[in-house]
Amino acid sequence: MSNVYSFRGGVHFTQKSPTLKLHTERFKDQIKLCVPLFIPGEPDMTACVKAGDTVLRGQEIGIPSSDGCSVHSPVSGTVEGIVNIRLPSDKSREIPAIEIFSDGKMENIPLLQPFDKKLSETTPEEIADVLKAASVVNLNYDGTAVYRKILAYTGKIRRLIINCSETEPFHTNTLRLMFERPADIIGGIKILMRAFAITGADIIMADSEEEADNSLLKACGKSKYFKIRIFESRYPLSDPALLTKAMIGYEVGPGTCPEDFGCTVLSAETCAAVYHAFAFGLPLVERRITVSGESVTHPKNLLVPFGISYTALIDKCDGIRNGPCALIDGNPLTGICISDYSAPVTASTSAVLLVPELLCRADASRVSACINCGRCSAVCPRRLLPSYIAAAVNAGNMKKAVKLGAEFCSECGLCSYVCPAHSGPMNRILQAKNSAVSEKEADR
Amino acid sequence: MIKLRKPEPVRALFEAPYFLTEESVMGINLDFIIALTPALVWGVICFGLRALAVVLLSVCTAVISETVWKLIFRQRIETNDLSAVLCGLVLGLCLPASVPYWMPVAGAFVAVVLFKQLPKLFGRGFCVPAVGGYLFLSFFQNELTHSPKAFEYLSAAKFSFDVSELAEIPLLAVNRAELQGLSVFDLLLGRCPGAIGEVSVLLIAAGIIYLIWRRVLSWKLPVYMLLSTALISGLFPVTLDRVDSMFAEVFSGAAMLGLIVAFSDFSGVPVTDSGREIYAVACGALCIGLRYTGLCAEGAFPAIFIMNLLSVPLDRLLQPKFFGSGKQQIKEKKGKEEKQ
Ligand code: SF4
Ligand code: SF4
Repeated sequence: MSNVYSFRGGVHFTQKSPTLKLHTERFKDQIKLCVPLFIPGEPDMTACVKAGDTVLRGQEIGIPSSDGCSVHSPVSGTVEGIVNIRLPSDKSREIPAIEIFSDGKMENIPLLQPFDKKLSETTPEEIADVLKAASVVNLNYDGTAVYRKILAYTGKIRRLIINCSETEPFHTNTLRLMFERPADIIGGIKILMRAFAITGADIIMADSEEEADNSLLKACGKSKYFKIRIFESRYPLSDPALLTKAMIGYEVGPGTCPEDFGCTVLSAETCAAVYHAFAFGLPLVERRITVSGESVTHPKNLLVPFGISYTALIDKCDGIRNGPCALIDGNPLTGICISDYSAPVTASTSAVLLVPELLCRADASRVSACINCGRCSAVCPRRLLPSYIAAAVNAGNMKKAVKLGAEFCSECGLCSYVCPAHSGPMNRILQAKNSAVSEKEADR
Repeated sequence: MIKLRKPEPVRALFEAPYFLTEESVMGINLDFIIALTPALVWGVICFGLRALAVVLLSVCTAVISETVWKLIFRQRIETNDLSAVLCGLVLGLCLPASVPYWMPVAGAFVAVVLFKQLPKLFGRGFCVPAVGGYLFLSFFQNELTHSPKAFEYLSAAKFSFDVSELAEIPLLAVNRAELQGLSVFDLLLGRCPGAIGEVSVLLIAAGIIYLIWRRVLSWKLPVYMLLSTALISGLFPVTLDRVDSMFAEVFSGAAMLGLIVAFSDFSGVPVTDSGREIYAVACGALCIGLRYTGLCAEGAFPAIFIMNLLSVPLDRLLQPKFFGSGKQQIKEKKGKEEKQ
């Protein structure tokens, strides 16, 4: 590779991904789902079906109270009831959820039609309408609806950055998508290029062995529209701010977003979902999830409908082995530890990891005070000195912590990962960051 | 009233990230101990069992005083992180084999209590504790500047020796422009009087290479420190021959051992990359500078101590700009907003 892009800091995780070579399996057992009526950034939703109704895949089951996306049924089956649940990502409020018993047939609602206009004749507004009807959200990132981005930023965006890299430990879902359905990604990118009215896209890949020689590379071929950017394979390559910096040279600080600098970062999964919305009229109701970790009997890549419970996923992979373990939703560095295994999987879940409790728990005998070894400041992609900020927080001096740049932290978790004393500087920094944010809100 | 910091680290046992490095404090300290072992072995070959006794006394005192301190202050006892062992080992290696037995004991006690544990009550440590202990002992210059000749074994049973029976450590002789009939080659192999750990330049170099190979140290740090030592001593030679004087300065005394000692406890080392490089260069330069002033027996240790005190200001001064705080882009963004 002649031109490999790089960024400061980061860590290359060397552990093996057992699911790398496994073909994605579609999950279509008869099972009870619990679909939360919630999309980040969208208005509150109410159910439009009631207990006993029969629903088909793709049918609307939750409608927004004002202009916005709706929630669609991920399977065909019977509505069993409407309940209120709390999502693990936001425990503070209750949201309605619809319990559906899947009949395992995955019957699509007949209304679903492919978009039949030629791409060169569509306008960005039409594309936004289709994506709104299909509730396509920005998977792997903040999970907000894509159509809002298109409406807000068409004409202001100069670079479309598609992140196809996989640097998180254990994750293989993006890789599998690249191997299995490269045409979907390419189709999605073309639609998004049209939507943002630009004529090129940067496709980000890592230079790891796993990603070399994948089908997406071949599918892009020598196209002059797609520029493949190979990056050194280090976590957190998927960070939009780092990609923006590498592509256009601006550093995205707190309070700004890549769009302010004419750049937008979307994931490969989002592109595939966009393509499905156009080619089949299919709303976003399912996604690839890696179920992995040392405590899973048979790690797998699964294509699962939203609303499925963690228990069902674990059962599908033949259960837990090796004794007590922790269930982590997402990336092990930043994810959430799930205690309620019956909670539903949502669009923000990229992987479900089961790791032996002993490994992930910084047990008291391993935790000691900071020894000032400097590893954290060497890996911090935001050029902070985590040990200094953590020391200020431990001393109760939040002002100093903020002055040392706590607000600039991207919450990547690397400083805590590399710390040989396992003193967890990231969480100290987050304390300072949150207190700074709440102070600012109090000022307003 | 001074507020004492809660000594135990605060970390909830179950919080992100759920994926932690295999490295540990103990591993790092163990690497340093392994790196210092060849020098210790040579010291024992060179000066006999008495050298071993001095080092062991120092290590034991360090471990015991740390444990007692933690019992008094009700902190968790974590001798298994080996930091006290390393501290005692470093201090022992810096002493000549002929010191009276009370010196390693007192030195290790002061190092652990005053320079290792006490500062931690108020935050973090501020210097390499062994260096602090050595500086305390340098009030007794005579004992530190004299050592038995190589292969002249002293009885391990005798508590102390009279200075007049001993040879002078070559470093001071250099300043008087004579090497007591020792060639640079002798210094390289360690066939000369000196402190237990500092005589064999080659074996210390092997230890440094081990540390670099284990990635505990970046290769830059010892190399920069060595180069700056060599450069200063070559620019301002004490003898007529520049090259000779340079080799003599670098290979004698604790200049080489200092390369490891300066990083053996990171509490007094800056964390920024540029800070560490400056620290290394300044330690090397100050070491020769202090030797020339003749204020203290060995320049390397006070040099390290001075730079330890400067490490926090260095870090704050050299702290890189936070990602996304550049002025030019903020301006540009403001401009954009005004246009709209
Ligand atoms: S969590 Fe924050 S401070 Fe720690 S490495 Fe990541 S960006 Fe830096
Ligand atoms: S990595 Fe841990 S021990 Fe090292 S300086 Fe950072 S917080 Fe301290």
